[in-house]
Amino acid sequence: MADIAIHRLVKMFGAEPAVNDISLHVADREFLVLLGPSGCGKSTLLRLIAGLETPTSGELFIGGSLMNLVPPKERDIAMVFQNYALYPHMTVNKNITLGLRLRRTPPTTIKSRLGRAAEWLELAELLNRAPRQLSGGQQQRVALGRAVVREPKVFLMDEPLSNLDARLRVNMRAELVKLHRRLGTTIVYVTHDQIEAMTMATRVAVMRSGIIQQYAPPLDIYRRPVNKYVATFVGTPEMNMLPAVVRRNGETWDVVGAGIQLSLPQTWQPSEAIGTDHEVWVGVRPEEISILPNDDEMPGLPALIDVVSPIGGTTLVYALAGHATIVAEVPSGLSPAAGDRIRLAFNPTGVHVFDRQSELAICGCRA
Amino acid sequence: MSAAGAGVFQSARNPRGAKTKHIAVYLALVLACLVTAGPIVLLFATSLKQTYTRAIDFNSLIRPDFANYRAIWTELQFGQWLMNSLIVAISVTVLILFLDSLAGYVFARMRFRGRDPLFAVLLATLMVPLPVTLLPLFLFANELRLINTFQALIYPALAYPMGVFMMRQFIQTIPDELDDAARIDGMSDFGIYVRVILPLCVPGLAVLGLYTFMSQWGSLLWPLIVSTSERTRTIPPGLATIPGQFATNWGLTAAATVSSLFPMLLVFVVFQRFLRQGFGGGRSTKG
Repeated sequence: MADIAIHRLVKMFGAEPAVNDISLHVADREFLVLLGPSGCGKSTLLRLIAGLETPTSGELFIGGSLMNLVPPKERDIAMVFQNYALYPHMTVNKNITLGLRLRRTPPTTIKSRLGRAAEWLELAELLNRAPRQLSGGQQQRVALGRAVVREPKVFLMDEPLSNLDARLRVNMRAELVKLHRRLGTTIVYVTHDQIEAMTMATRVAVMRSGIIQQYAPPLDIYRRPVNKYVATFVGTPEMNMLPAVVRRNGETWDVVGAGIQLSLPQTWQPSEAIGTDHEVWVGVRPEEISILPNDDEMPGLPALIDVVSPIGGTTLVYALAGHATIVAEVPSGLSPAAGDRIRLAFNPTGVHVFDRQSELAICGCRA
Repeated sequence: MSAAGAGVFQSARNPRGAKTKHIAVYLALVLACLVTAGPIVLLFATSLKQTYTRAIDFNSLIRPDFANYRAIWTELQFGQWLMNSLIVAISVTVLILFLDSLAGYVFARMRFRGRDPLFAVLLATLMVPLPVTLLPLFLFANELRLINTFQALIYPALAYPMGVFMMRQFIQTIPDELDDAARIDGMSDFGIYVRVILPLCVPGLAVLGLYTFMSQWGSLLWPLIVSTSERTRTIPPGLATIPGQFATNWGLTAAATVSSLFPMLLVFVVFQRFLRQGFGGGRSTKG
């Protein structure tokens, strides 16, 4: 049992809070990804869990025990670092087994665990090499091996894939998911790469300025972002945002903006009472936009195609509508050309509405 | 290097100009060699003859007489001086390597109140010239009854802020992540210092060690003041005692001086490969 409970955790660096009053519960066997841009406090939160930083206030529990003053080595955690942090003066073998040797693990246990890790990570041939003789991917595997042989309660990973080339990164993502499934350990993983978050996490915590914006399974974050920040941070290309107002239309609500006139589905109801013509941001993901011919009979927002970027299965269309550039992701069979006049139609069930002032979602769609 | 490189580059277009430049470069190099090596050759030549004059005479290089090299062991206490110098230089070097790397580690890695002001004070002591401290140090040593002891030679040399500064700079080039990894692996602060920092500091330690050994080996002023007996006299003050009242046996003096250079040379030969790394600006720990 190794759940992590964080209660009102604060870490100040000088007068600046790096982690600002965070409360979080990570269930046992969860694969949590802390997602956010650099400087959002995600690495600090990870280091607090590791015990490499001491919290300014708040409490941290691992497996039910208070960890605030427990040194890292007694927390039963293992960590994988962005730059691997292999000891340059030790062989691969020594790098992997040092933690076990320092804990006076019996040599036979060390040997069997090393053997298993080396086999799984295909390191058997490299055990007597120095880290500088290895490629980036191999160093990464050694760093993983060092964590795995410890058989810890919790794995902490600080952007472990960011120094790998794109292909290796995709492979390692799959390997990490398998590792999680096989070991059944709790993993806390820090990244700024939302693809990593979406593909590996069982839960994602999106962070900004030391605060968790949303903590939910990855698809929930994608489909029901709680605020404009999460909506635009998650998803590539990012969600289109247009200023508009919401207006009551009998039982339902309409979105009205420059060139936009859209009826929201019946399920859309504001979570709290709002006046008519309430100022909002309307968010639509590129894949929720379809392209129609420019015809006065057709509904949708008139636009002029600026750039067309085929990306294989689909095509990204960057279209100018007034001052805004709107990105639509359309099947590659459609072949619009730059300079074409078109109409952009938004799928009403894929529309997100955020309060203009607070930037909070007024109501999630697709409930 | 760049001048020679430019010469080579020009030679393709302007052979005559390049030749003149080459000659000028080599003349300058020959001159530099003469200035550097000349006195050493003269010293060596003098040591190979029985002489009480300082005449410049290189004939002894052709017909060397090694009598002076035998005499330094019998007529002088050279063996004693050598042993004393070794005791002092090795003790100071070992202790400085330990203390300065430990202090450098603390200044580079530990976070504590007043660290930076303390480091500034440490650096400020670099500005104090040695002669200013001689008198207070002597009074101190006298008060502690350390005159004519090895402690008097060793202790003051241990306060070496430049070494702390050097080691701190060197340790700062070692990635912090290694400390974090070591901490999670289960090492204490001192464990990290011994198992991670020290092995990665070898080039820096080599430079510091060599420099310390060298300066202790050649140290004259302070040993001259605090060791007045043969028991603790080191080589430099020993050499200073050779000149007699009426005549100086220059051959003997030169032989003793040349002999005193050998341990230094040996240390250099052994450690030179680390030196190149050390002066090369830290160490790359990235694979």
